[in-house]
Amino acid sequence: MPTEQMGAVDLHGGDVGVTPRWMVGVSLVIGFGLIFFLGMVGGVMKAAQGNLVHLSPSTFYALLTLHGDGMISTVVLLTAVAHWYFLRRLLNLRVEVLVFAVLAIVWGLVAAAVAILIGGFGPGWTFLYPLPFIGNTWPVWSTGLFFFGVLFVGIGFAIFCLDILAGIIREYGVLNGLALDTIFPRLRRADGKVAPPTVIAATMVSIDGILTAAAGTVLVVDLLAHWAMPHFPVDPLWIKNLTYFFGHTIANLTIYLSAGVIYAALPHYTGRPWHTNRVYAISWTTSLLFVPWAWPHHLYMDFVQAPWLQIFGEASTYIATIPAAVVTIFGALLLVYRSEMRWRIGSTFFMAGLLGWLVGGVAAMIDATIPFNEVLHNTLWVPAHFHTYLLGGVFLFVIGFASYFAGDDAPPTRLTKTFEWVFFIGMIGFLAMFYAGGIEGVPRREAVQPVPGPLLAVIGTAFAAVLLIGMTGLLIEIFRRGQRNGATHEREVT
Amino acid sequence: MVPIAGKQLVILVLWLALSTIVVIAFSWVVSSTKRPVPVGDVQPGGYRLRRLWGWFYGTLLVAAFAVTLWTVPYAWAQGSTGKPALVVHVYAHQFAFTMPKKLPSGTRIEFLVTSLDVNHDMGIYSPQGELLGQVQAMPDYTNVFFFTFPKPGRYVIRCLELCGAGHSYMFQPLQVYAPAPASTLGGRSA
Repeated sequence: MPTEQMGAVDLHGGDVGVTPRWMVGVSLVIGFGLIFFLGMVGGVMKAAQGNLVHLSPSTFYALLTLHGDGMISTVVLLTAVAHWYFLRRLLNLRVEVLVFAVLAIVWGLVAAAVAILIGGFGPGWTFLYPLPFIGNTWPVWSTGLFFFGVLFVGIGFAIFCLDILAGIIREYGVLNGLALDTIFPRLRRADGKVAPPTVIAATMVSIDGILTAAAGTVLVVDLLAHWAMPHFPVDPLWIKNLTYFFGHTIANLTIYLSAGVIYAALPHYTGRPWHTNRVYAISWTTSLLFVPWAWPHHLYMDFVQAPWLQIFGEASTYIATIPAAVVTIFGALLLVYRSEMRWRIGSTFFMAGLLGWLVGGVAAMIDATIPFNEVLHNTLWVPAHFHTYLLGGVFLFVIGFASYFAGDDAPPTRLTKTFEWVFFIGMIGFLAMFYAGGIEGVPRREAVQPVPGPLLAVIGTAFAAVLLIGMTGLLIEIFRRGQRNGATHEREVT
Repeated sequence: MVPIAGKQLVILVLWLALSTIVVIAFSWVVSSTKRPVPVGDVQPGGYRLRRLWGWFYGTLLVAAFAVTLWTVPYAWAQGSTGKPALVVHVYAHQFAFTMPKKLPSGTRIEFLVTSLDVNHDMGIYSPQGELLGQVQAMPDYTNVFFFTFPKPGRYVIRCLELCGAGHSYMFQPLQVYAPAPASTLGGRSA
């Protein structure tokens, strides 16, 4: 019996009809399809800002909402599935639950797409209250449908988090899921088994993910109540805090899901194991505690916000970077340093993603520094930094994972190297235009930008086209090489 | 192009310098894989380096945090500078700001900023196009924002928060004139 089906039958006592590998593969196809489509949408918006094509402001903001909501939901889907792929080897996870989680996220995406493409809903993916309800150009039904879409994405993510947290509790318990037994001997198991780094990351993500999904639910239920009963009172500052607690944290957690993938996959290329020790326990406990408190940095320019929250937001943002910079990324570099690294598409993209994470993280920290935020907030610096760690970080990890998952273990060819270069040149040029715009004070989220926005947008459009060409070629090559090699890493223990 | 100066210049230099260090470090690690050694040969030194890096990075963050505490734009952090010379009410709404069209330079102005409909953001651009400062405008709340226009000229007030289909067109000129004698401005409201 093939290993894949064994996994499904042995673990759950019956053939569920959907194997884990099939489910992960389908999710990758859906995810990459969405990334390509939403990337094209982003390219069209850039072209419109550069006056290369004409879009009415209403259409532009609808597409902006589609791009933002779609990309975040898709990246959540892809990183969750990639992380789950490794976790299922370490925990007793049910593929049926993943199916429900993916279906909920996809349904949420479809609902949002209908609200946007048919209804013209366009207040941006952060849909700050009261914009969805006041002076808008879209019908009332589209507002409600979009909120239901967001709710379903949150539910899908919550299902994923609850399932892996339950698996962790069954196997290790919450405290040992964070490897706190490496610090406190009393917690040690009789068999001496310690949670591997991938499980530690999953513990942090699942707990913070449940908190995030809960906040998102409160947010959307508040807004749905106001939508159904316009007299239902809603406080703009409370809603704004909830919006960014949900929006920032769910986007941020995708990088921590990716870290779990790196812990599992990078040793495959370096030939060196990635061990758990108490530094990892301290690091991930710190992330667990401080990542959910970084959201106030989105509200620095709301001077009415409680001062302690502003200051704590900056401190939490700083503290949350320590585990990433000192433990995960440094640990990855140490794992690679003078190793017999096999440079494949997978390992190249994992390393490039770590680089993007760090460079985007530096830009994010600068933006999260209050005196700097005064001249960066809501300029193109904001999409510059989050595109760096989402496109130049998380998405590269997902491409690396796709290569690993496809069993593409052959050395790169001239063709794959060419596509890699095309991809990276397109990506760097595309990101550079955002940074230039941010430094020049060009506002983000504008259908018509002041100078030098249009010029930067023209150059950015050209680089976006190069990026999409490189991405498409690379993904086709990964699929083709995976089919030809036919190898999997199913038997590897990570 | 807008001249890059002030905070923007500091930000650009800081980000480029740190990113360059990151790229060099990664390149060094990548090139090291041409000379592989067993993991035991690099791990002890690596752990020592991590400890040093951790202390260095932590100290850097504490220092940066301490410095920024003294330079945040909030009224409580700016110390006692006396009463503002001028109090200005700003009402943001789709798609304009209701506020004075002329204000003095060199005068500490207390802006009381709110919104009459959705969230907006009042961004202040210099005559050269540099973003000098900003504050959000939120319905039901008033943000208190202190600002001093550095010199006379034609400034631009621009909305920096997506506020609807006309958001891109929500900007207006603000004429800043040479300061009048301080004694004539004390406690005035505009």
